[in-house]
Amino acid sequence: MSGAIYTTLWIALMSPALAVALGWPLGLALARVIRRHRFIRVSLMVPLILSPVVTAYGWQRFFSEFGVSYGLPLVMVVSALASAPWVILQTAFSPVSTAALQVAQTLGARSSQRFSLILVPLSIRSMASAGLQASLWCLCSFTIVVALGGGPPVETLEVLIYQKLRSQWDPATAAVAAGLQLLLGVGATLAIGRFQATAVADTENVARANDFSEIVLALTVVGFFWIPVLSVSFSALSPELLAEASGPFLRSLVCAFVVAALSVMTALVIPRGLNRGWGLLTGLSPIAAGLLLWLVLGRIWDPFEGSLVPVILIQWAILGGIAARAVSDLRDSQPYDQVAAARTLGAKPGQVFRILEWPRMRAGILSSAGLVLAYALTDVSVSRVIGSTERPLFGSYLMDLAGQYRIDQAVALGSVGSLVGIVTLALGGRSR
Amino acid sequence: MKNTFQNALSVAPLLLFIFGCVKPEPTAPVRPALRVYTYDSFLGKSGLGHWIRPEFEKLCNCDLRLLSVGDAGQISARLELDQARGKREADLVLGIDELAWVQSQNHFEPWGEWEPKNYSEITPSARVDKGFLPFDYGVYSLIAETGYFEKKQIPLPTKLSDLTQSHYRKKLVLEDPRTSAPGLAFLLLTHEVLGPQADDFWKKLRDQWLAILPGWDTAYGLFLKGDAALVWSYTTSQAYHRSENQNNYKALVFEEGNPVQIEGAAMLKGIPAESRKLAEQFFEFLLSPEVQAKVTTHQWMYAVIKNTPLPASFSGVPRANKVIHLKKTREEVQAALQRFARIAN
Repeated sequence: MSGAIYTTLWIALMSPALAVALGWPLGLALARVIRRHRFIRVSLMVPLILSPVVTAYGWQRFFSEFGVSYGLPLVMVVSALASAPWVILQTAFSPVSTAALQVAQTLGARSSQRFSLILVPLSIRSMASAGLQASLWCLCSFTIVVALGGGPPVETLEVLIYQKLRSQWDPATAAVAAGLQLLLGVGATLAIGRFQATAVADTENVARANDFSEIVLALTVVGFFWIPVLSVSFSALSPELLAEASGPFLRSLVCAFVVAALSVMTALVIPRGLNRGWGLLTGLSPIAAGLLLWLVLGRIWDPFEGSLVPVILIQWAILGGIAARAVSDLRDSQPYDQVAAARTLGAKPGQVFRILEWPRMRAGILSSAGLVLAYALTDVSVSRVIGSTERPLFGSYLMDLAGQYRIDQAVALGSVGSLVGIVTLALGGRSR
Repeated sequence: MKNTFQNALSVAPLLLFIFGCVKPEPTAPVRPALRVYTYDSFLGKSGLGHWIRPEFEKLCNCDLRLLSVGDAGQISARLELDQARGKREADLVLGIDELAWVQSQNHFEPWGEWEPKNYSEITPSARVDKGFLPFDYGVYSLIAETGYFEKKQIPLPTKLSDLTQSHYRKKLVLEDPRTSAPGLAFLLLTHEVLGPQADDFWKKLRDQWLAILPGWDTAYGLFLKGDAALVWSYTTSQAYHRSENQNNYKALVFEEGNPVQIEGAAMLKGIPAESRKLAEQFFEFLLSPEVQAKVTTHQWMYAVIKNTPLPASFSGVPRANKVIHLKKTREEVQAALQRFARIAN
């Protein structure tokens, strides 16, 4: 297991470092464009909600042109590229005052002084937070390691847990690996909370970004991170394939809708303190959570029978944290005076929500629901660890296709699956 | 309000059904069923499962439920899980090999006095133990894409130690012995042939493989994609390529010999008496000339029944210099896997 721990830590440290090295300067350079243009924001979100199958094989195809083959370097670089858009977005919304930079420049501060005395101190928290989130993402990354690692020695704790459960039946070792994985994940999540900076969400104070060169740079960056999407060959989607994939897709779509709806509804209803706590669960590894369910319920429930209930439970527990965080922010900014006045005047809770809350929260709710939906629909980990091989879920089905080297088909189907999440996210409007 | 609550309650069973919590009550008389754990490629598009199921159901007037448990390497894990749960979802298993038979023997039901019809017609080298029904067999070997070797003017490897030579670097695809039967056979072959030098061989080989993948399907897919020139497979893979008019794939046999894989079926311990009768009928069906004739072109393996005709594409398949039967105890296999894990990671 020591090899798996070493590889996991190495990927969880080096890939985020690469992601920050790439994403931080780009985030600073593009902050004004990103804050101002919804299209750029959503376009940078797309690589984050892509099916991991599309991300892994899309980038693999790109790097194979340069002779890079399977192994740890490829896993690390692809993990970094997959999380870099998140770092860019985080940095763009970090509380770096452009006014302070302009004042310093007017007062004669050199660029190195502005960098070291203003820029770095102001953005260090958001940089650490983005890096830790990228690290958490790498810790829980299963598909990229399996698809691009090329087997041993590239074996992470996630892969080890999966192997010990499904191929070698060694639940004791799997449980130890899962315990370690959970510790790392929860530790990273707690640290993220500590470094979380207040985001700059308003666009009013942002100087008008009409600089043509900034927009061109932003579009170039978007184009680069869209490489996995651009590698999709939709001609691979034959009617036979779509018919074959419809079962897994519909099963996962049902799951994803239920998970998204449950997540948002729970986040709206439960006490605010719990919402914050729930955010911690986003640090859980889906595979470790799946193992937990195996150990607790294994005697009464067959993990491979194809029931959607355990899949929904795990996805709800983990992905619900995304909605919980977003909705918690929205609930914190609730206009108490209006709500209290409406209640005093006899408005029912449903009316208060429909007339006062929904218009205000709609964008945030739809965006977080879109994110949850996208992740749940294209999830591979949960569907691999507890799904049925006879009635597979979409993510598992895509991995099976890729395993048979029908990669064009897997990638094309994966991108179709991602479209559902992208559309919901785009409908979400002006949220980050 | 009460009506709303009642309406909500009335859709609850429907929701539970959709999510698989409850199963519909059967309305028609239930036929006896034989439940079989097998591997996914057996049930794949070109797998034999699609042909076997209707044919056997006609014969036995029963339901043959072929349950895929993933790849062949996952069958043993499934048996262990069932044992831990104290519940078994199958009556027999189809797709284990003689190594898995030894590893998981505590899960299998002995035949007792019973012996399937045609059992005496099985090729002697494909017989294992009573209780294990051989179904097909094949000889493991490297498959080479000869075009690459001709282009680069590199000799084809003829012995195990050749694989550590620099001109094969990153041109070899193997299967992970912890998750794959062919991978385990390759690992045990190295121990059988090289003895104490096996660890040194693996240390050198570590830099040679392009990838060491979880299963045969994935490894062969990568090989066919053209990223590698050598893959660990079966000599009969060459016959498949010949049938597809692809003459650039060649099976390579080692001077030291090649291991054999005997694939078979076994009844699971505690099989109910009614299911056992069906299982015995199923075993005899597997040894019937009709099924054995299909084995060569669906499984691309040799039939176990003597004198089963072979398709023309099998004619050029090389014979092993020495056929190695990897008879290893559970402890020996575990020790080899631990040594592999230490070196590979």
